[in-house]
Amino acid sequence: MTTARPARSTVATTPVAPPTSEQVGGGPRWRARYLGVLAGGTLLLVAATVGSVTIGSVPVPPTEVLSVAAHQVLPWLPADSGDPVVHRIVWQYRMPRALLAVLVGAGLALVGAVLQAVVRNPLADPFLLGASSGASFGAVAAIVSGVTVGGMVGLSGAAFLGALAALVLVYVMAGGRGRLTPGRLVLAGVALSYLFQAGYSFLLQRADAARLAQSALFWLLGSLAGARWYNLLLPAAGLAAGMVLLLAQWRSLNAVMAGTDTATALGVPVHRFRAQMFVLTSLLTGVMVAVTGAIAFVGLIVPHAARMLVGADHRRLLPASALLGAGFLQTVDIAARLLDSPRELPLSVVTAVCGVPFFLWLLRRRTTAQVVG
Amino acid sequence: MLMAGSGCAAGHAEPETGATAVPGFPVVIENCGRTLTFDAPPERVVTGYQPVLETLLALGVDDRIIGRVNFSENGPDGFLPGQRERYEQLPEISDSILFPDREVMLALDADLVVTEGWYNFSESRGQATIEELAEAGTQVYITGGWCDPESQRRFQIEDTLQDVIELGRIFGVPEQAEAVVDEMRQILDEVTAAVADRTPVPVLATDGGAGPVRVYGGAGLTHAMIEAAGGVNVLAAVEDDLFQANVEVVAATEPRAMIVTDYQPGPTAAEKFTEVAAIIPDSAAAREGTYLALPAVSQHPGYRNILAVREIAQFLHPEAFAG
Repeated sequence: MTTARPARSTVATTPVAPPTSEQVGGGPRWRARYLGVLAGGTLLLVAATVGSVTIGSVPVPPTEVLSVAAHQVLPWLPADSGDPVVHRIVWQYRMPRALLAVLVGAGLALVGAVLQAVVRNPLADPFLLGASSGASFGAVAAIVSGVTVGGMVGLSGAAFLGALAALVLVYVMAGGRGRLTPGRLVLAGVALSYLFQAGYSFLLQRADAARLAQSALFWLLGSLAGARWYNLLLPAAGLAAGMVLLLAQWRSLNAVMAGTDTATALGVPVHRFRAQMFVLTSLLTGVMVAVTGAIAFVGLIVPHAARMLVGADHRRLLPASALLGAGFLQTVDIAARLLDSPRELPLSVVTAVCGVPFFLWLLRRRTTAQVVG
Repeated sequence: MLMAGSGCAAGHAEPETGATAVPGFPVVIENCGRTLTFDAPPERVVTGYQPVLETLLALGVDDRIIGRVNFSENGPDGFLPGQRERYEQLPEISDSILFPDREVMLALDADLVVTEGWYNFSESRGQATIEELAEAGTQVYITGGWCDPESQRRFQIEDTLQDVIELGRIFGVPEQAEAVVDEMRQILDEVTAAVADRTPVPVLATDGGAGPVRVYGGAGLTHAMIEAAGGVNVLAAVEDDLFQANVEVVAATEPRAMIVTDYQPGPTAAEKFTEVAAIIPDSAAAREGTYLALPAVSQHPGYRNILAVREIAQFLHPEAFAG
């Protein structure tokens, strides 16, 4: 394949070491690993999803879960146990929640992988460029003002508007149509994040919001507890579109990861490409965060883990990140529901506790040192 | 001469010994593991949230109050009959139900602070701690035994009566306290008699939420009020006060009535009821739209608890109070 391979000469000057041809995925060793990771990731995701719909605060026998699901998907099959409560628990709450975990886990990891390449910074994640704090500001404003007409729908709408506002502001601040360098993008994003954080902290500290602060804080730390069938549609559409559009850019992503000069030499219109990727990932983040609140850690660590496992070629990195992100978030959500059952824990509390030990183990392995430098 | 001299000497000695100054004093009270000592009734009192003020008004000691917090979360009609005027006359020291910051609090130079909760002394929120107030000569009385989150979950209705008796002693109005306790005891006895032969009604108490849902478990004040009012809390098995429940736990309940916490700003009680009813559409409470919007003030330790027990009982068993 005559693909855009980054040059070795830029290694020393880039924040993220560009992958060598061996790491990018030329050799049969990486191909085998990629297939292995896909198989393992799929296995993890399927097992975790089955676990997610069978495990819960209210014990439901797995056979009944199966019969509820089978009856819903294939209506001509014999009806389930007939207990409407069990039916509602499984079909109205557990199923949408398990699917939302898949969508959001995959989406956040995907966005993280793309942004780490676009701004060439290992600290990049979906929340670095302001979309998440913008969404949080929108959501808190809605909760505190009491204008949550329509419950979850109004809240999500406000959160998405916040994310859009952040996108536009960061875009304008970072230079918009001109030279959109990684440095300006990151600084604009971080600066605006602080502004939005200050905004929602102020709203929460305001006197009459004392009682609402609790539900707002829960939202700020992310949760899948609000999952319903009707709020799966947008994340699903967003993830499908994002996956197709971002994966189509894998050559440019590889080139940009190697450095601006290399990418320019390879014919990538770097600044325009960055702007496109920024808008695309911000929209995708906004759609996810609007439903779940800001779930930390997934979009930062999963892409690194995936890069250690399958190499830095985005043709493989993006699908692997999405798959591992989905499996990881699904597993973490089971823990969030069970650790303090029947109480709910915010997801960001659990993601780091579950993810960090695994990540440290991965980081210590010798082969990974080549990828993260 | 001798008489006058001794009288004069006694007059000078009075403020020092204190014991002979006010009958019944000094008063020593154990509260939240601290020993409070009063040589005389407090003269400069700061009150916390509405339930505390209501209790002090019931004791008739409102002339000692030099500051109160803001109760607007219960709306303009959220006062007991005739109390709004009194509320508006008292100096407001905070624009929320929480105490103001350390400086404002210390500058008040109070000799007693009465509050309904442990959360009013948060250093991280910039409030004066109980220790800092003590150094400044301000003692703190916490009602309902809400000394910390754990003791908040152990609340019993009797704690409210105990508070009235202790506050009566502190303010030197034990007879008035006795009368208030008798009145409260009478209300409780009436309720107990009215609901005694009635089948307890399954109740879900909630503060709304689509997931997680904020609900009241089988510990603490709200649970105690439901039990006293002839109800049975459908989440009694969860040993908690207000908690963030997994939605399927709520979906598995079948309440015949709901109690919805009511305050502003935020969604109205009706909106919160609709939200939670959607999770249990087949329950009698949801089908028949049976809910009581209970002002948040009723869910804190104070005189109002007892009135709320009667209100809840009348809501759950209207036929028992018909005659």
